[in-house]
Amino acid sequence: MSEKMNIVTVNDGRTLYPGASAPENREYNMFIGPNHPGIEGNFALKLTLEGDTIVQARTDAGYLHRGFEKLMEQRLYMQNIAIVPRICVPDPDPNEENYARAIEAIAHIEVPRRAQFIRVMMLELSRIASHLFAFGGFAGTLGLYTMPNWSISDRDRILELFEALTGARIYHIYIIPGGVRRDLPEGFAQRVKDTLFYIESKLPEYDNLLFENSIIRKRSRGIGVIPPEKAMEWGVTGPNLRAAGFAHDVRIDDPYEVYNELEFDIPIAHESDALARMLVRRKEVEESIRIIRQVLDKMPSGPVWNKQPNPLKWKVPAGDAYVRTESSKGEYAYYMVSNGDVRPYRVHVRGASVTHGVHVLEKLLIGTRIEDASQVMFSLDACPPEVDR
Amino acid sequence: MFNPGSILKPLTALRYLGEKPDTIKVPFVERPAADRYRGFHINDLDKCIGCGTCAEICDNDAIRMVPVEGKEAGVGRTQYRPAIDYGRCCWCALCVDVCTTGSLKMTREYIHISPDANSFFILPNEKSIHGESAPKEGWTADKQVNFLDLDRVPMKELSAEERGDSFIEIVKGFSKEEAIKEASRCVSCGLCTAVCPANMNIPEYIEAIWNDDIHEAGRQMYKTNPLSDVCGRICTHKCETACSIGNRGKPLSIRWLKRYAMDAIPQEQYLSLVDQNIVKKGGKKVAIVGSGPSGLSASYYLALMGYEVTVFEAYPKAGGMMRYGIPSYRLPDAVLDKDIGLIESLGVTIKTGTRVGKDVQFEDLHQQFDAVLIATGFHEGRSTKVPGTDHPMVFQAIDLLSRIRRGIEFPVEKEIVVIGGGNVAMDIARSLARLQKQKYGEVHLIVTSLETRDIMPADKEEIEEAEEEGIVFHPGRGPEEVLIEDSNIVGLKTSRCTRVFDEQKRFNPAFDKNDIEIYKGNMVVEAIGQGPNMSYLGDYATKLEYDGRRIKVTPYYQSSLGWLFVAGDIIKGPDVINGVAVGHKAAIGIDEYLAQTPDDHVTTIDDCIKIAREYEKQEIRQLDALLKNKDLQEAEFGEGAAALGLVLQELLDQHNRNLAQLLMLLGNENFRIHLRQELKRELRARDFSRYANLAPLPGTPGGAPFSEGDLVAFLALREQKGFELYNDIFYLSGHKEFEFIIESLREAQRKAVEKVEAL
Amino acid sequence: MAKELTQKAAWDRVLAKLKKNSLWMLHYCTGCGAIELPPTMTARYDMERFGIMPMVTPRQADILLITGYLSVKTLKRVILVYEQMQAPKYVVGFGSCTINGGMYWDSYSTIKSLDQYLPVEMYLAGCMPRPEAIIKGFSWLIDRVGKGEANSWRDYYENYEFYRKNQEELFGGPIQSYQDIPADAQKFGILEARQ
Repeated sequence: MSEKMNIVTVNDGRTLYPGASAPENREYNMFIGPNHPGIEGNFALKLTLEGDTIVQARTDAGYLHRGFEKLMEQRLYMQNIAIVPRICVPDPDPNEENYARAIEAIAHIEVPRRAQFIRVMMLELSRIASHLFAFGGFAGTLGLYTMPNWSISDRDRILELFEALTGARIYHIYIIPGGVRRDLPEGFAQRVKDTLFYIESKLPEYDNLLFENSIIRKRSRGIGVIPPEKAMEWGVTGPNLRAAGFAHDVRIDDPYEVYNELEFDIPIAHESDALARMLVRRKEVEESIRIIRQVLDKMPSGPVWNKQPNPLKWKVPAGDAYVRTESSKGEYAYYMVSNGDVRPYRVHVRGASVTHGVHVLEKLLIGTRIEDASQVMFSLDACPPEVDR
Repeated sequence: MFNPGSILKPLTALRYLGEKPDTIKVPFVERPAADRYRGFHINDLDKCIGCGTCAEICDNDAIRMVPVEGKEAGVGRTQYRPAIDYGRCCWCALCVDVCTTGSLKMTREYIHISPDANSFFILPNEKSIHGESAPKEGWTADKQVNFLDLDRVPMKELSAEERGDSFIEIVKGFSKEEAIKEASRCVSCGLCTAVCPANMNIPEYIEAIWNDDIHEAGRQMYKTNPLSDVCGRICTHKCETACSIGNRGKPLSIRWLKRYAMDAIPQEQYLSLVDQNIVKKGGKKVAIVGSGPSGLSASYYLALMGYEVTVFEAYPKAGGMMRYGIPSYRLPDAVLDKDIGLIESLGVTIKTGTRVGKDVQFEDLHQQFDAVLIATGFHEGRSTKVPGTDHPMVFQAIDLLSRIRRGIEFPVEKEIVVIGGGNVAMDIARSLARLQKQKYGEVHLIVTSLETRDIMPADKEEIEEAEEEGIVFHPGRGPEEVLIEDSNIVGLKTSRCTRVFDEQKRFNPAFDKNDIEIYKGNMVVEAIGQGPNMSYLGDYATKLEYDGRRIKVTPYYQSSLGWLFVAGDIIKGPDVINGVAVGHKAAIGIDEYLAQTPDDHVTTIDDCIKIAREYEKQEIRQLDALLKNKDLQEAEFGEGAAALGLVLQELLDQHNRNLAQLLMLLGNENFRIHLRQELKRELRARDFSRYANLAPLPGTPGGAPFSEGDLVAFLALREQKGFELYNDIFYLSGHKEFEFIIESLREAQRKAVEKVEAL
Repeated sequence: MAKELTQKAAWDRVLAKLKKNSLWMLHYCTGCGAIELPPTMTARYDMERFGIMPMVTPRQADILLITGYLSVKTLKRVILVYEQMQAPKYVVGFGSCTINGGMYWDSYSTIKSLDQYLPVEMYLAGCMPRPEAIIKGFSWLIDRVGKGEANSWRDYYENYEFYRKNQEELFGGPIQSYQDIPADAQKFGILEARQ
């Protein structure tokens, strides 16, 4: 009795017969595509697995490409402040800061002291917000959905602060070349202090739920280890680098704004795995709270903007500048070239997430099991809009 | 070391049982937005002047200026108001921060839900987007962070002591840095151009100065004003009153910028600035009587049109009122000579010292020339005719001013009284003050006028500077009698003037004869107004038709005798820039009168180009007003371009605004600028790439390229500014949509030709 | 009741009431507007009070939320996902980018007007819309579903050639589709079955 054999040809020309012996090659492809809860944002991974272990990984970026660097060349300098925060969606302030500082470096514009303090406060608040978002995302990959419910809700209080100060929750368009756009409203300093107090009181609860949770610890210990000797070679920056044992931080190495007048510590860890990275971020939230408190105490009075010419007729002198900021993802830099016209000639964005989300991720995924792939990605805190620009 | 804790640790979660949840139950609980929230816009439609700066700064091209019913164009306002597309807006509030009047604000509203994408394009008014009145304001403009430059760059002038006794020019002028800084304040709204009598391309030349391209600035000025040097010093600057920056700050110093640009160009290069597209018009000859501003301007334009122009001037030097009416501390001779030199270098013959009526008869002019333009101006002073004004020491201001300029001596007494409150009175008073200072070392000069201080017609700056120079003002007094003793003047008796204008706003002063004041003086100068002297016309004066006391003319200043044109103060004054504009129009009128060719109707696109170029001098900026008004079309363009108007109307009827603008584009540079902006919008809205070297986007099918005729039309754009536009159009030429535009153009033209032939 | 209700129409009414209280949203963050979705989904604004939950597979989702701009690459996936969703399905355009191009109106790699490629049920203004605006939008959608007026999904089946043509023009050629939409509509009687 012969069975009717269904011959099915698959894409790469191999034929599979039901009941035939398994082919030599035990690998199979799996796409973890853009519509997936295990992927942060709109991003895809093309994995080759053998059993449950990943043997090869390619990332598929480009779903969010908008052509920022070209779009910035078509707009006047002052018009660009509206488009720049949209490069990195969870943490937009380092973009505005970099853009403003690049122009200030080329045109030798001085920023008033009060504006510098306000900028530091904005950057640190944005860092706390971004880290809270990262906690939520990380916990979600491990199945702990209570954490995003808490941390994103607490982050919302910081967004309310932003709304009171700048007029919008997410894309502030507040840090402009020459200073900031408006002064602090009445009672704002007290509101900030109240919010910081609230977040500080929540940190032990986060510890109780997430960071000292034995299940989480067991699951994320030893996952996605970046070998310390390779960390520098691969160009890892930010909390990921600090979790590998290196005390590098742009705020200390290359101080900008008024960071050299403020006291804060740099948390580092040595294990360089997913859990270590998350613990480093948790400690950074505490440090940021400390910085903001010092800023509020030391805030001088004065103007908040150094007047620049009419935006329709503002030419920045020719020159170029490379400025960098410590964002919550890593070292974030802009390279701006001006040829003396009303529009920038070229702006290049050095995003921290390209290194982490594309190159490091591909290397780290090799050898991990499929259930940990998501966790590796979230612990690196790569931001797909920034990867694609 | 990590301590996992006891097995009962998860039970610690029980403490959250009694806590209030964090949720804000939103549709049932209202949570107001912050005080500074950037929500939907509101606009005070009366305060808004429609300058369009918000549309310029918007980086998403979300704002479009649309005409609004009930809002009219006027001095310093347009009939457009911003309409915002919330399908593009990103709520960055740059438009609010850059608003010149502060009328655009944002509210705290942020919710709009609709299945229809078109309902997101709104015209913000005082009500919120859903019609609620007095919405709460969110983000509004701030005094400290203010994007516009509200203060002027100060102009250096000579101080009162330095200038009190000499006729050296008072204003020192801008340096290059100051000029660039002042020019960078401009937002290119164009309100100044609309209000300038000559419609000069002001935003364009300010931009050229800002780019440090002085020659481009000069070129832009020479399109509409050959006397830019003069205007840069003494113009009455209506543009500055309309400047949109003047709403919240000080208007731009447009006059000083003009002066800076013209001073920076040496005389030898003036000819290169002129757009010489001269087609010789069959050797026709035109005579111009009077070389004042309107006469010179007409001669400039006629020379550029290819006519042989001869100007007859009675005084020894050319310039008219500019030379013999304005003192040299405001307008130095050398500056005026620069401008006149250019006009002479174009081939215009100026015969000075030739008075029509004495040295040359008017009849000869009619015989020897194909057209005659009279622009003799107002050189006869009017007298108050109070008793005593026939004394030899009572002078007319105009006479004295021209004598000062011609170097003719006249007695300067120790104490002088000047009657009059206008600019001429200021001029003569300040000139006499200087002469007094030179002769006696001190100034005793009184100026008395009917008008009180607040309604004196002279410029405020003139009055202030006159007071600094030691002149005493007695406003609100009317002359009664010149007091004479022993055949010498000892003073002027005045009474209080209670009103100047009556209820019908006519000049009808009333006096209070009981309130008498006597001002001491040995000399009285009258500066109450001027009149014309047209005795040279002879018999022709009776053959002309009059409108009241003025000669009746068409809108092109042609009198009822077809060959005779009238320009200048005689028909419309009262300042230099009006004279320039009138001279320009009269030149166009003369051209049309002389160039009457039978085939003036539209037959091909080439003819369209020719006609549009002829009328490019109009520099009409607002296509809408023109096209909506057929009478205006006839009046403005004359019969020859009635067909042009028809074509444009046809296109508008087909709701094809782009085509209409395309046609006007074919020669008129102002429209080129407008069209460039419109086309940019269309290009962007249709998702076309702006880079001609990129391959066409996937999905834009290629079409047939341009035909010969179309190429000819667009080659007309081959100037520097239009080149990019030409590039865009050429790139687009492969696209089917644009083909449709060209087809419709041809179709409309065919119809228009048929209509004209049916006439 | 003056109007006679057929059994099918009555059942459709009941279905509408049940449907509107449990619309499931596809968990797909297509653009930068998605940053305001986590606050809406989690404890602070709690969308789940209305029955709206994120769902990972398109086969079981009702709402496709296009949060912000769509690059051409994403649009291809979104179309595949949309075609995998079961009717009736609702596309919500979030933010200015879906309406007329928005912030990236002159970018070479985003689409400017969503309703040329997918039938859109409603648009929300904002860049990006706040959680309060999102919830108001969803309430509006729930109302419409309850009344049986939310029928834009039918447009995809009825005017499939129009959408397909636009999509192919954008992608520069025929795209791979796993469903044969007109045939499915015929075979399963989708348009007649659902109200």
